[in-house]
Amino acid sequence: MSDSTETLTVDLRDIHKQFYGVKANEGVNFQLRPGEVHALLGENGAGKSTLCSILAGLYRPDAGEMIIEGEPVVFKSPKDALAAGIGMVYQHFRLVPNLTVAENLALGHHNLGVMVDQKDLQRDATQLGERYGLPVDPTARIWQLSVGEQQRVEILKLLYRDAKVLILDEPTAVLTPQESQSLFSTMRQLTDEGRSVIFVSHKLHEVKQVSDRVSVMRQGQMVGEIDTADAEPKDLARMMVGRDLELPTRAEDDSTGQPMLVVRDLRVPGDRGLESVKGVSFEVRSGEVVGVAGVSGNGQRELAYGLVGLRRPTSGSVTLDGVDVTEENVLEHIRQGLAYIPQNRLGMGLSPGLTTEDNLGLKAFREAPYSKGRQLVPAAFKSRGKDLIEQYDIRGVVPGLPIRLLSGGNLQKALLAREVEMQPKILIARSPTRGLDVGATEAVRNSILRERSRGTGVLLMSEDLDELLALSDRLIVLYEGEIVGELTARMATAERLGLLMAGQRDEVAP
Amino acid sequence: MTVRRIIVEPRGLASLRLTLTVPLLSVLAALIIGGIFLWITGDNPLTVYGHMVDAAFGSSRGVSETLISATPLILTGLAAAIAFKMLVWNIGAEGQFLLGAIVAAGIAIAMGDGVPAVLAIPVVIMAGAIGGALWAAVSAVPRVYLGTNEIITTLMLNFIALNLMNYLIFGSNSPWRDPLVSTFPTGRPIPDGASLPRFFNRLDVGIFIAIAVAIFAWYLVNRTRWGFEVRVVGDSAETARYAGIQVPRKILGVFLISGAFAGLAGALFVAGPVGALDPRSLDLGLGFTGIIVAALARLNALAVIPVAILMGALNNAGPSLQSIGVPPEIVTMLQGAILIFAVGGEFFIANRLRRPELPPEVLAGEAAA
Amino acid sequence: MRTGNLRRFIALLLALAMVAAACGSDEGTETTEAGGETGGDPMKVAFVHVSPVADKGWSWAHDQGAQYLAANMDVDITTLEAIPEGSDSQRVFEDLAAAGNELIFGTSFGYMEPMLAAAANFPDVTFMHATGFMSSDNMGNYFGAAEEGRYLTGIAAGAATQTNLIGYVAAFPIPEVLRGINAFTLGVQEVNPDAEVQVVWTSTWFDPPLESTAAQSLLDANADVIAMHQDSAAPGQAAEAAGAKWVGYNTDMTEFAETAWLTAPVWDWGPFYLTTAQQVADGSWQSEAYYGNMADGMVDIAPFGPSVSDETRATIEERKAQIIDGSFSVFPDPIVDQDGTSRELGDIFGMDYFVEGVIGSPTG
Repeated sequence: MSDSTETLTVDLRDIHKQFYGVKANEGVNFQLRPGEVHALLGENGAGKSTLCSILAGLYRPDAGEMIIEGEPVVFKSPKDALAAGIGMVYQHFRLVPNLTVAENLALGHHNLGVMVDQKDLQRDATQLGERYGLPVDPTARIWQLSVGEQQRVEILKLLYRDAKVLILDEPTAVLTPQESQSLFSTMRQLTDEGRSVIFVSHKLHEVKQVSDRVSVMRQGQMVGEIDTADAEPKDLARMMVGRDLELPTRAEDDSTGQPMLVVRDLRVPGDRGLESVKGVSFEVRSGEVVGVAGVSGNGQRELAYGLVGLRRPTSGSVTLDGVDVTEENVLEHIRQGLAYIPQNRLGMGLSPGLTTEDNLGLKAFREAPYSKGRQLVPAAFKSRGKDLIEQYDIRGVVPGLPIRLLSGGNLQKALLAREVEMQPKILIARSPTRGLDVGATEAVRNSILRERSRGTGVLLMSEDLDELLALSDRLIVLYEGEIVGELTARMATAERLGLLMAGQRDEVAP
Repeated sequence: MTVRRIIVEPRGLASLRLTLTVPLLSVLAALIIGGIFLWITGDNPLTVYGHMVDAAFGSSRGVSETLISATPLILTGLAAAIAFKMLVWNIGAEGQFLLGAIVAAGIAIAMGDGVPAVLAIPVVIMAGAIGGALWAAVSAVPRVYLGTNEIITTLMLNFIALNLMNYLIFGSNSPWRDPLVSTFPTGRPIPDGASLPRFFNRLDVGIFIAIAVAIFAWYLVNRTRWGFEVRVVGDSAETARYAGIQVPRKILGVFLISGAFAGLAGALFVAGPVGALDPRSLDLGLGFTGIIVAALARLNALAVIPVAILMGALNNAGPSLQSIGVPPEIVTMLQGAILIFAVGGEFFIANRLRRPELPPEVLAGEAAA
Repeated sequence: MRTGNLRRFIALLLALAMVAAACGSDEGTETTEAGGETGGDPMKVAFVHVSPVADKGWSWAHDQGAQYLAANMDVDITTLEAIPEGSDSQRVFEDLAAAGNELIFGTSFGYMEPMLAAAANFPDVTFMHATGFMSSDNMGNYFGAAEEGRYLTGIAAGAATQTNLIGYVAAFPIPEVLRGINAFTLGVQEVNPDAEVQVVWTSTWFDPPLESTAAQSLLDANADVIAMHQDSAAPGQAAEAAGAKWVGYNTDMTEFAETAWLTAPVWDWGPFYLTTAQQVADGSWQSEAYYGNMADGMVDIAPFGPSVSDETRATIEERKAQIIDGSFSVFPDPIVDQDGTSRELGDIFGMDYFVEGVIGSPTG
């Protein structure tokens, strides 16, 4: 693998790139060998996407050399890069929604698209898809496809042009765990044929699983390159963040607290009137984290809506700290001490166009100090907002500007700050770290554990098994609207959860 | 894969300076374009603009007439602004204005001459507001509880209101019609006791009421709990529900208040400068112009006041421009050009154009996933 | 008539077309200076019209009168067109008065009360209002006996109809219009006692599509002649398309429907405008309600279309001569109304009934 006489597929030397004074790449060196999966790791804004875009011909470097297969090159456009065998799948796909899969493959390749025989195209597409484990219907139009399928089309597009180097920019961000696994096997197959893959990610376990080597970037610079086999997740995390992470530590289970949330035989309708939650019973006690595992779409959303008052259950009961709130509206749930972190941060948890200060007051604005009778106290929004922004380290806030300008991590910090500030008795969180980088993930998980130790009952709904296993005292698994298993933290393993999530009832009583 | 040369994207940070300068530049650009048209048609743009300013503000009569025209526009502008802020597409200010006028004139006529002004005027004004609100309710209630499209219902109700007014005056011997005039159907004059007192040429106290309502509306939206809830609903109904705000009730409230503002405009107009339910004086499209006023004021209740005055001035400058030989079509074009440029300017405040050289990392609001 | 704001902005989308229109309408809007070498400034006279003077209808007829005035007297004329009726127009009259106009004509009924208010504020300016009934020391009003022309055009229509049904597209059920319909019907029945006149109300003076629809509904009901009290030529174009005949109004509208054209009651305001301006100039003007007629030339009929027979022409010319010399009066007294009852003629300016032979309701 480290045969130094071998010609490097890609050799980037001392690449510099600035955007309006922001140094996105500063003297970056990057080497790609034939037949390897090379992970490019780094936090949001570390310069990964810039580097990839330079390699793919989208940007031109301010300085530095690009050597492909031993030849110095200058790419004027992505077309040049593609001609040299380098193609990229961007985070935002570049497909034409109204054209079919086959037509998208031909687009830009055959310049006279109309002259190409559709049948030939479709046959090529099918064959290519079968060969690389990327099944997709060549006659389907792009808008009819799921995000995962669209990504397959993007990859097929590159293979159709016989790209030797495939750059995948955070491809798993839009995929389910199963789809990710299948993508990884496709990547393996590509490298077996001698192609190379650059895999951009900030998820350590994926990098660990799929890559041969890892390059880590931080603040526009390359901070290290290492064989994956030698890389410890902890070390990679330190390289990315530039400091040691306080990994969440959960005090041992002593769940003898009061039941704060009691759910009995709860049934909640779905969007189309069919029952989505089909008779669910469980409790969350003071000071415990109950994890809810399940493949998305198995009733998690409806369960959460039913618990927080956003959707009226058809039967059953929800009791918050001894008060039956089944028939109550959202406001009554809030008054009973229920905090909720929805999956959709911007658009449900936060009002995108309002300021950060206004958003921080969104739950407490009905009372002092935010309002005085029917009047609002703008000064209170300002001063309370300032306190919370400092206390919860919410960065990037410009007073008076809408909250939607904040990064995902800071949005989540703001949302958590507001919910935790109300000193809830129950905290329900859905996928609270989805899409966040390691630093923000760490902050969010620590907040949840702090709530736990304060005595809050936490219901954590997530698709991230690592997160569930790391934080939960107990786990329940939802499958098609029913609880198919309940496990204590000690008994839970990823394998067991996986089986339950696939609908195989647990025979072992908890 | 195409690389577009110019990318349009939401602008994260619209600076205050930009927010202020863009509308001014829009008006300036409109004047320049209008000037080119004037020049083509053989008029000296500077003379024409000078004359417009002079007509609207150059004499005490000009100022009072401009304010008379601005009064209903402030209120119909507020009606549109408060509704649009909440994404309630009430484009029925026209009909609500007419209903306000009909109800106000009806009450005034029913009370007759005996009632003292201190009582009659508040009653007439309130009646107009209630009339407008009820007309809005005809669209609002089905919108909130059945999910009907309020754009269609409010628009249709505009026509119904117009035909109702025409029926009351042209088509029947209703109490609104003046029985003393047989030559041509006209509205029965509003009794003196219910007419708004004039204090400056033809200008009556309606302008103070309109300005007070604008301040009230601003306070309501920005300084009350109710207004905060309205702003949340307008920005994200989903978030509002999440935060325990009763969205249907808020929408209904805003809709009714919007209708009340428009109805109030109608009441002030019949009890003020018009003095009767006169279809020819009321069918001026003031409700529709209010939508334009609201758009130019960027839905800000206080900004509605100067914008309404500007629109009033533009409107009044028209006929007097004909005196110096400018075709009436040119004035219409100037008004339209200002609107188009203002809307265009809005686009540049909300978005920016960029070359595709910016990396995703640098952009505000990077999509992490 | 007036254009709504919404329509104004839609119109803006046709900006280029409007520039063309703006260029084309110059002669109507520009200050007209009649060549005079007298010392001192010419008298300033203003005209305010409800529709564009290019409408070839009511306002156009008045504008012809203004041009006649300009050609015969040293005056400085300002013409404002498309000025909405209603209270807003008071501002326009006051602006004109403040700008030094000594004589101001308002040519639409809806200007009456605003003009009266403006007249009170500018007692040194002479105001003249067409078609109304209010006046003051410095505001007079004027109108003409259109019924005389209506009667004569009724003769032409009565002679032309084969189906014995004549359609009448009418604006508003007010005395002025009822008077015209009744006079027209009496003229029809003079030559064709079996013919009837069916009325459709539009509630608008000027709305070409609506006028056209109204005419079409009458044609569909088997009418083969269309008459009208409207300001556009749309009913005539509908008649032409259906192969029917047409009696217009206001002006000679032959050009819009050459085959269908019979004739029309028309206005000649020029001599009256000249007399009024001269009176104001020499100080002899007195406020009065002037009612012009065929004898003084304010009312006439337009040239006949090709289908009007020589016999009919002769009948009409004979009646015309009798009207002018006073030996024939359009309305008999007593008069037979729609129900066949004989009644006193009464005040024709308050006429609120139909005569025998009219189909429709006189209250709209």
